[in-house]
Amino acid sequence: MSAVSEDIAQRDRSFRDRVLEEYGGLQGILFLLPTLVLLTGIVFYPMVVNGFLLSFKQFTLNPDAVDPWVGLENYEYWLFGQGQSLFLFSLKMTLLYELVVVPFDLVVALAAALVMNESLPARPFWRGLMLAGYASPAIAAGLVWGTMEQAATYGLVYNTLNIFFDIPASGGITSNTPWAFWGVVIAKVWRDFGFMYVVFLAGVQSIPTELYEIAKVDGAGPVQRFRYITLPHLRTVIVTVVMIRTVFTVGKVAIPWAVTQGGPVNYTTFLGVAIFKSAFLNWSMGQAAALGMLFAVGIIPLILIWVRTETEDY
Amino acid sequence: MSTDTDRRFEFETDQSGWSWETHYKPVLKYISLAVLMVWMLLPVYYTFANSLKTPEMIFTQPLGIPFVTFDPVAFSGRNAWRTMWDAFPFVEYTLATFIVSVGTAGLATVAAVFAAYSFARLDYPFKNSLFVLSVAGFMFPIVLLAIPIFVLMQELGLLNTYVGMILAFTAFTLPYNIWLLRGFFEELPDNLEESARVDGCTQIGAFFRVILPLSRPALASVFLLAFLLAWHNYLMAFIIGQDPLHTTLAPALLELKGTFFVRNFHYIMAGTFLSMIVPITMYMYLQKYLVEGLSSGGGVKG
Repeated sequence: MSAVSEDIAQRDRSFRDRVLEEYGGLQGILFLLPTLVLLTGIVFYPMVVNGFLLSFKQFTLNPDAVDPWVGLENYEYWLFGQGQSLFLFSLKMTLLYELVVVPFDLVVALAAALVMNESLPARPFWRGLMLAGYASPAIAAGLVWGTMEQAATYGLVYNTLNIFFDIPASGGITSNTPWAFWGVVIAKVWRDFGFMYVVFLAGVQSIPTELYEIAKVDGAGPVQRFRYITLPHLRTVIVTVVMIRTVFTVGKVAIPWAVTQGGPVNYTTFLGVAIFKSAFLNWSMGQAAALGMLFAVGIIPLILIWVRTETEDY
Repeated sequence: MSTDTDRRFEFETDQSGWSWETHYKPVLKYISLAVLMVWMLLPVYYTFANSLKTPEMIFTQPLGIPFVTFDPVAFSGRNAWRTMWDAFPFVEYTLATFIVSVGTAGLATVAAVFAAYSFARLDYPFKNSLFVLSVAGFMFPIVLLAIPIFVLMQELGLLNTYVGMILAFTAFTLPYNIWLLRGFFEELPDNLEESARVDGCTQIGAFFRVILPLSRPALASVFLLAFLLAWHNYLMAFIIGQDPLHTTLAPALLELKGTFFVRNFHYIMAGTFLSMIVPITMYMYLQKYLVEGLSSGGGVKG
């Protein structure tokens, strides 16, 4: 379009339209105002002042006292000082936790979605019950699984696993080193796979059934049908959901905390739990904020990728 | 409903003996359903059944079925559900959880409706950056928000108050609600406001008279999701409500475990069951809305 015709289009618009356009912008800001005020007050301002700046200070519990600046001391504590071994160990365990929980979640959710997509009597009822875990508070899930992992008559999980493996009876699953990790994983997957399940169920339902009919006529077996029809259809959904789950899993405290309290010693102290312990158990908020900032450095690229996939259709 | 192709297909596979469609699949289907259901419901059943036993009974028959293999201690005065009211302030906790969850869901939904509408339907400078800023908080781990919010609430003197807890919960429910509602508003037909404007409505009038009534189901599902997020949250509730009587069920449960583990085992089970059954019932009853909310618009993406 040439500059002249644009000019004409500009002139042709009525005064009312132009006024509305101006006010449209104003309205947009006006509509956004409550959210902006709220988020500034409870997220942006505290994140900068109490989160970022606090990581360079020594926190004193007295709210009236001025927290003294300590420069990079808090960061040094985690990277080179006393906290180093905990930081490195916790980083390793966090990565391991992610590598186990997310694929485990994915497989269970996909299996559940496929089963619930079949014709079953009273299907809506079963579909609803599959969300029992996701509907329970994480703390409740952690408490129940933690209880069932005790070495006692009521410790169902312990008693079952003890048939196959030799788990020390003192403390059961939750207080013996390699087992505590798996104890947390079971509770975590039970609680959280429902989210992926809902998304996959919606995805599987959107696949046209004709595709399967055609594949059947062509002689494709069940494995081939899954491999060449179901998986390709779910690919984009799987990628986004895995990314979201990865970011979410790393920052959640409730389940490891309820099942093992981060123990035995620091065995299940994942990064989120480490921040939580350091801030609200040892009350060294400055150090915790510094660890949080180190954590954020790792997590922000993931969030940016997600934000990009979310806004690219603009 | 068997067409020619179907029949031919069945005939062909039947000739070759055992086939996936007719023999293995139905069996596998029901076995998988059974396995999934046992895994899903065992913890819920375990919690419920053990809340009706005495601690000794839990040790002798942890899987006993209420009213079948044992008589619930319902009327003997040792019932966890009845003694609970005296031993532990459960009514207060449940009430507090309810107040905070409703407050959070209300605040987050009202603020989110306007913001999501402006992101989806209006145009103004820096819209995309503002959207990213408003929504990124949803992905940001709550642990990282916890320290700043705790310090802020301490400075404002809002620790141990419902207001403080509602504000803290809004920090992570509001971005989620904006995200879901924006997806919903974007799917509405473009000409809705235009036709209302032709009929003499202002833009704001069109929003209140046309868009809001249309989005009632979406608002309901978003309200519920925020309610459940608040009901489920442990971390924020724990740091804001350190005073035992101003906290929600989740931190209260852990405290209960610390106070009396083995001796009053059935209390923990009763409390846990209470904290589970309210949201589970809501999910079962409102499944349609929730699944729609989760899987429409931005939901499928997350």
